[in-house]
Amino acid sequence: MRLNEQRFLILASLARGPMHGYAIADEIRQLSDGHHTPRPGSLYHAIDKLVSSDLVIIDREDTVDGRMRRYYRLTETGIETLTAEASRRAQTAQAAIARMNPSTRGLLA
Amino acid sequence: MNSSLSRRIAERLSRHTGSDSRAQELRSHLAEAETSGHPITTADVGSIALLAARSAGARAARDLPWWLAGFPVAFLLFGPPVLSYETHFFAWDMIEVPPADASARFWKRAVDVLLITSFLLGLVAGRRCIEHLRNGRVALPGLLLLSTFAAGSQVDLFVERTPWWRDGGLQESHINEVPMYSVALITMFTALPALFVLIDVFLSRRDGAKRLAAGTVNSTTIDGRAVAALVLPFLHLAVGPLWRLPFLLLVWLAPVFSRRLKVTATLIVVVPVASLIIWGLANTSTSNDPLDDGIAIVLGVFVSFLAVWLRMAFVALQPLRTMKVDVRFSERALDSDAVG
Repeated sequence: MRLNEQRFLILASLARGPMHGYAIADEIRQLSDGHHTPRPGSLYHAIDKLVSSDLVIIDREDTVDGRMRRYYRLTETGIETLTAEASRRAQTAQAAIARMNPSTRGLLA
Repeated sequence: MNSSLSRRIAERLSRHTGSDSRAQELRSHLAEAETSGHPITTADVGSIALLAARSAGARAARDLPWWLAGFPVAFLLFGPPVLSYETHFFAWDMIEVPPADASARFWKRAVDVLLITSFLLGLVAGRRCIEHLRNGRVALPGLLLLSTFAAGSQVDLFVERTPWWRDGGLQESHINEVPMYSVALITMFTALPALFVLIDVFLSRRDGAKRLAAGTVNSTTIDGRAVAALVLPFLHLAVGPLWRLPFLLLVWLAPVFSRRLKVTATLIVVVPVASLIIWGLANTSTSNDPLDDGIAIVLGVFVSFLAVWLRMAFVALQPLRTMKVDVRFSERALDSDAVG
């Protein structure tokens, strides 16, 4: 499954362990250094998509301070997909950095 | 828009995002965001509105085939009685109401509205029935089908007592009698089934939170309502035409309430009471006919025996009754479906 930025970040957040929706949003903010702030509607829509794709499942539900918290976690498929996507992105990033090297630019010219 | 107002709107919107638990999840999210110093913005509200719209769209797409399937059920439930009423009694549209007769015009229009309403109710009822059948529940469809069928069986009773029938057809002098019978009949066809649907909706909503809390969105029990709904209406065939209607009223109402009062109580108490009422009615209405009195007593005893027999059958069915046929949709499945 091809992951867009938000779904990739959700999977990456859940790599630390089971999290509830708001914690995922917080983790995404930190992961992206504040550049990515998921809106609640789009966050839960993306989570639903990941759940229906069997990349994420509901781990448990707790009530904290009278509020329902639903924790999500990665499935085996989710871990594999995240690993593959992270690797692909890393390769792309490395390739991009390599292209920005002055000597490489010189070769290209 | 300040955060507090945004949050209130977002919370309101969250109710329409697919499921009760999703709404709770969103409310929890919003509360934590505010507590953590992240005010709720208009963009947040917009995203939840979009989620709600997606959910509504997915739900509509999912339900559309069942709405369409509800049409034939609606027709089955409400079509024949209404159509036979239209064609069998008189050609309703061919009745020319005197222009000066405001009262007749009003009643004719009222009957038209009732007819249209009955079909709309039929559609809702049909949709509801399909939903029940999908979940393996037969009580409500059984009730509706048999009640309309049984109501239809009363038509002749009404018709035969109308002056226009006795006089060999509708005549202009009978026009003022038409509305009363029309309204009474259509109300009989529509109001009671509609009442069942309303009660069913009310009970479902009341139980919905409990079922969601238990993690079971829907579960089916072969309950007393199903047994009563399927068996009791047949008893009306055993009673004479004059006593069918009051008997049917009891039979119709008993299963509706048996969820709360226990079907055993329904069978043991309501049916004998019904038979006594039948007996009483028979005694009053046919007091000049000793044969009918005798039949009424026999029928009363017969119904009581049937009640006892049904009670025994019910005990025999106890294992079935307590066997829950799970059609559990986990919250996960529901949520993943809800936002497609």
